[in-house]
Amino acid sequence: MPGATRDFENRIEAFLQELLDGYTPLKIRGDKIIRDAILGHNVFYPHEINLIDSPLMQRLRRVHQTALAYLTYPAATHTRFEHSLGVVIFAQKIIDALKSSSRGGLISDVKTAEIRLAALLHDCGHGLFSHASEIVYDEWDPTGEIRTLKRADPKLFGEAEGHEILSYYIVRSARFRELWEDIISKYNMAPAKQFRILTKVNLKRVANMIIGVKASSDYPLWLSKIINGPFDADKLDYMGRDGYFSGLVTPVDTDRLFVSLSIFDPRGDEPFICVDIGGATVLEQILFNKMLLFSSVYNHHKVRGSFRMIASLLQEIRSKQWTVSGTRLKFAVDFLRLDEYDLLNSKQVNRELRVKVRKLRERILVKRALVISPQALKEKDLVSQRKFFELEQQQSKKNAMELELAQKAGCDTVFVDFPPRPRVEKIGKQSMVRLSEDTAVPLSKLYPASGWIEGYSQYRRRSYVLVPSGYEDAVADLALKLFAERDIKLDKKLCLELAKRPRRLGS
Amino acid sequence: MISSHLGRGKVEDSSEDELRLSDAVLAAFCFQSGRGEGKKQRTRLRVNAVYRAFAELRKKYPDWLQDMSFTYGPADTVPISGALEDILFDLGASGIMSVENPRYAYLKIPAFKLILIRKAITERRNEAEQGELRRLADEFDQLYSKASRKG
Repeated sequence: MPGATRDFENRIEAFLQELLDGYTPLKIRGDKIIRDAILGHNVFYPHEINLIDSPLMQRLRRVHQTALAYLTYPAATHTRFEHSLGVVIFAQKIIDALKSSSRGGLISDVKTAEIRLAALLHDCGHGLFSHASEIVYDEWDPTGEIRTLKRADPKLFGEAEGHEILSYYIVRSARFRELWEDIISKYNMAPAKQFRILTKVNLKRVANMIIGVKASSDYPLWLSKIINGPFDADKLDYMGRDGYFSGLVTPVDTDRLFVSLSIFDPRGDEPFICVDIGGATVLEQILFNKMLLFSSVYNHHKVRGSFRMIASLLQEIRSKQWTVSGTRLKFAVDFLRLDEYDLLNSKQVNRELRVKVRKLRERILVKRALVISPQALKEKDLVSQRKFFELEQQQSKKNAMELELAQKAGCDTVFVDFPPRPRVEKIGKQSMVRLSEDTAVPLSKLYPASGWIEGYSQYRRRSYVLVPSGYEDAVADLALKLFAERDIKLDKKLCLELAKRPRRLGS
Repeated sequence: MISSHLGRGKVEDSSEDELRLSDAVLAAFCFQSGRGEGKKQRTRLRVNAVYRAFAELRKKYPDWLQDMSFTYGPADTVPISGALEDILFDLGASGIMSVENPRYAYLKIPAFKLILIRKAITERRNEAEQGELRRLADEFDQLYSKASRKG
């Protein structure tokens, strides 16, 4: 699909022209210390400060890390901006750890600079409300440009998320290169070594690191895995950060992890990062925390409610071609033209939009009519199990059910919500633990972390029927009826109890 | 605007009855036609071999399985696909399948469920689609046998 790729690239260029218009990087005199709430004081280099100060990174201050989760967890107001800085800090810690272990000398100053840049820029392709906008231009748009790119080059993008693909193209763009060259030109009087390092930085390699593929033929793959791998700087930061700001206790003994890291290459052909046996426990912590974050934060019913509300609003803005702050959401990159301040202000001209935005501003969120746990499907009732599975797999069926429920109940919105599942197999099966000088095994051989996902799928998984306040009872009855019509028999008592609606049981 | 993220003005999209990734996974588990009448159905499948077999199967069905991409780890570790992981999770959460305790190395589907799901797929799909599903299941069967020797 070269044409589609070219069009996509052109749209990225146009976006960056507009975004960076008027931005002139200034010469920064010396390194800067940035104090992070979790990670303390850390050094950032002058060229990084120029990028941090650029509109490309500053817009991430207005993109919350966990979308509207702060409406449920009040302190979860952290943004993609501080997360990006956190990933640089963790990437540097991994580099330092590997340098001090065997073969660490392979990480040259240029490679270090590139890894730090990949860490800093890895989320620059996130649109407003992070994954809530991503779902609109990726998952809910099966014929859209992101899916087209993934299908055109599955080796490169197959497992990449929409925002990673946007970050990749931003970093590879001509306009970004222009900005980069402008920045490094400020330092041509700096110590010669520093300037030489910057001139050797290759932005294509940086972009490849962002999507976790080999940076170039002469770079080992493990360098990219520091940014995007089974256990990477991104995960180390977001798990601690999302946990900390939501008030959840999700400690990861990162110091133990770092002293456990080394590069392992038993066959001499494919080096990879591994942890020693003492660090395996830390990988287990990462896995466990991921499950915890999903069950307690990301898939909390209120968080899901706000997520679905904002995602459906973005979808509506896109499909009805409404204009928000002079922008229409047509292509994926348009979701980067807006930020959360643009949308969540009270002065929207469009009345319909204003009413919907007001609900989010004032936290008038959808509520649970039904909560469906795995136990609500009877163990021996295969027809119900199969139909429920099929419903979950098919977006059009979910859409139809939502539409029918809303029409019959007379309310404007119903969400039949199947929250995302925590993906842990990559951490379990592709994180390597070193047992001896010449043996390393995947973590899953030492500890069956799949057991946690099995426990989660069997006991903690929840699906929701979410409705505006006042419609819970009507929609609960209707939904049970509609599920039954689709041959899905649910344990009514359990579904209502989990939705905290036991009063309905007597009626 | 009624309902959530529709906006496309259609209740049912045209892909309603197209073969999906989940059909491929169910067919691979349920048809096992290549095993012949005399052979026992597999009711236990090694998780790692399922991933390995699908990673190979994807190469043979690049169009149908195009959204099931795999990432390859170091040292011959199991290739992982988020899409496949999601489907296996959903099969577990809906009660169709479970993972065997305590090693969590095998997927379990009772024989009666395999038979009933196969019957349901057969009823819903036309001859040509059934043929496709059976061919895929045959390929899976062979790839799985090979992969399960790897562990």
